[in-house]
Amino acid sequence: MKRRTFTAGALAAGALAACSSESGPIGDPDQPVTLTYSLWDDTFRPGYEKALEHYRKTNPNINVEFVVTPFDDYDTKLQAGMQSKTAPDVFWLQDSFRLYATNDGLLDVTDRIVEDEVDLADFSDASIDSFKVEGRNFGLPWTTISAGLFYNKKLFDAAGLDHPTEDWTWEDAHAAAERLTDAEAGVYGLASPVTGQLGYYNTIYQAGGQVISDDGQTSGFDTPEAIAGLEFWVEIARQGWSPTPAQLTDTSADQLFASGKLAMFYGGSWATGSLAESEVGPDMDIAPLPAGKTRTVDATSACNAISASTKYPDAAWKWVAFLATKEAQDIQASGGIVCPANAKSKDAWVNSLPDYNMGVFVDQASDAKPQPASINTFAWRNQEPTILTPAWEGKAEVSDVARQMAEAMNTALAAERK
Amino acid sequence: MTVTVVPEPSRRHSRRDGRWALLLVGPFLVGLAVFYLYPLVSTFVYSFTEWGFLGGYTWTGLDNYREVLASGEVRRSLLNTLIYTAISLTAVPISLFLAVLLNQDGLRFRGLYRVIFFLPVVTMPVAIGMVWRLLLGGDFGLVNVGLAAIGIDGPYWLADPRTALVVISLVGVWSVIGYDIVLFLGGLQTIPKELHEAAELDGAGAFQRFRHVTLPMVSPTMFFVVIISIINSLQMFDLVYIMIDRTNPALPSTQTIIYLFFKIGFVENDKGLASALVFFLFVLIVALTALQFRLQRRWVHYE
Repeated sequence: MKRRTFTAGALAAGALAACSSESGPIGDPDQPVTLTYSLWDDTFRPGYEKALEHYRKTNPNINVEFVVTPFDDYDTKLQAGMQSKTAPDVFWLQDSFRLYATNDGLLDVTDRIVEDEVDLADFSDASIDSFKVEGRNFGLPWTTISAGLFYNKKLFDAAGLDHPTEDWTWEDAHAAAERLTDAEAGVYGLASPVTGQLGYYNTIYQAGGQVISDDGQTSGFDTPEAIAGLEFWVEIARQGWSPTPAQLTDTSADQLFASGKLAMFYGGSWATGSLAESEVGPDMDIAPLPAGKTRTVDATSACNAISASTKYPDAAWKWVAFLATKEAQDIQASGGIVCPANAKSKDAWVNSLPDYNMGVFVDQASDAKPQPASINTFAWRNQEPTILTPAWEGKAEVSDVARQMAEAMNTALAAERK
Repeated sequence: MTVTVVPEPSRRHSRRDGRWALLLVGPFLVGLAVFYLYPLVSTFVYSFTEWGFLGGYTWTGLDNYREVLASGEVRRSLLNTLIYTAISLTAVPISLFLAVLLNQDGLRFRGLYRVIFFLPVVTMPVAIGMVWRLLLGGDFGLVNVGLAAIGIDGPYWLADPRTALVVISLVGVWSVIGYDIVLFLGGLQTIPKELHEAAELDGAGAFQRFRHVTLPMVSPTMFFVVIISIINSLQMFDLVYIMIDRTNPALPSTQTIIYLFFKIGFVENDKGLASALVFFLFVLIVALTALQFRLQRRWVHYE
């Protein structure tokens, strides 16, 4: 008997759910709706699930279904979804934001921000501007992060070196990388992958250069400053203080670091949680990135945006607005994975993993430039590793690959304006 | 096409037969039209257009084809595809050899061997790619661990532009051998025993019998296998996509035409150019296949 009631109950619930998903989206605000929400990193999901649980206490009618697609395929899938009108209602956007925003793919939320009195002063200007087109807002940031210098205290102590400080410069980093490299033991000083966000975008900014001009029309790769920024990494690679690009393709820097084979690398805040649980967890800490001419680093923001063709714009907006509140950001930040965009949630983040210097990721963001992006960002960014790697391998001059990269990028940027 | 080839005892009869035939092949024809003919025609049409991000297109005439023919990246990918195809053709003699071994009378565990050789065929290409990628890892891959045991310092197979394409091709060979073996076994079993016995009576040794009896008799099967192998190899995508990351320095020397098609069409969002590129490949495949049908008269032996 008991069992039968349970089954009947389950069936009834199922029938209710079936009804609700088909019933009219517009009109009755109390109609239950299920939003689809697309993200690119499964490690972030538990934080969001917790936030959702909290949200549903006051908004029981809105449910959210998570769709996780790996970063490399994320945009491909989202674009295909947009073209076939099957895109999720709400989704993360980062580097390719402008592609969607300038092609009428996103819901304009400017008026809703004003109506609901969302305080944009809680966010850095760069993070808000990153998701604006012609003065209109098309998304609210949920994270703003810079890279941090992860280092292995044990390897530093063994080499008799002082731990990295906030006063470190490029020269200090090079000197330490040399001392820490122990070819026989297979230990490297500082990983030099051919990558932007966790690599040369930072040093190009620190050398006073630009990756893309302010008007978004020309590449800055061939300027002397950008070349200096690239040379910081090429030097490390050519001196053998880093695994080769081929090695780093097979085993990534954070994996090498986790196994104690790497003394330092530029890592993202999201890596802290899993590294803390790895073998190297008790021996590691995080320092600000070493300074070049300036301290300016690359800060990447990601936003929650709403599909222009969503059936539930009001519910979608409520969810997006909630995710930007201190309440929601605190829940996620305290997990030590999502570095919050909302400045009010800074403390929750700093205290999330008290053993480590988590403040680095947010403090640096105050002296940062946004990650370089254009409309069709990936059309040029995907070419970077192919064109730049020969310099790392010592097969080409930095100035030559920088010029090639600038040419390829300018071609891609010109194609955007067509 | 087969619809019209019906023997004709009387006109009335044939018309009824034709209707029946049409009814029977109808579902297939519908599938063919919806899933092959329509995409083929629309791809051809799109190859003369340029696409907006969220649909909508403008006519650009032959621009896309001009770009395809002028592009160094296309040339490079074509070369990669042809190298891959050439290497994957080594699967043909290898699988014929294995099929002959498996076809011997009185072989023990024959069923077991066949299952073992066939296993990769029923495994998803994605799984194959992932497993081989682990095996071939430079620092911790089993292949290099094995090589180190005999004093060889293995390269970063999949990150080194000199080895990556060859290694991927060999994985391709490995994964397709089982399929070819099954086809060859079918061919081998149609060879009448008497032919071998007669040759043996005439004093032919094992190699001579293979050369003068087995090989000519199995040549129609081999022709089929070669055609299918070339068509499949020219459309190589999944192994490269799985085994080579977007940031892998070996990408330019491994990306195939279809990989490039995917990149242009879906990552860089240039659907028109991508259509022109696959149409170019389509013409190439048709031409190569037609050429083989011409050349087959010289080596394929039909009873």
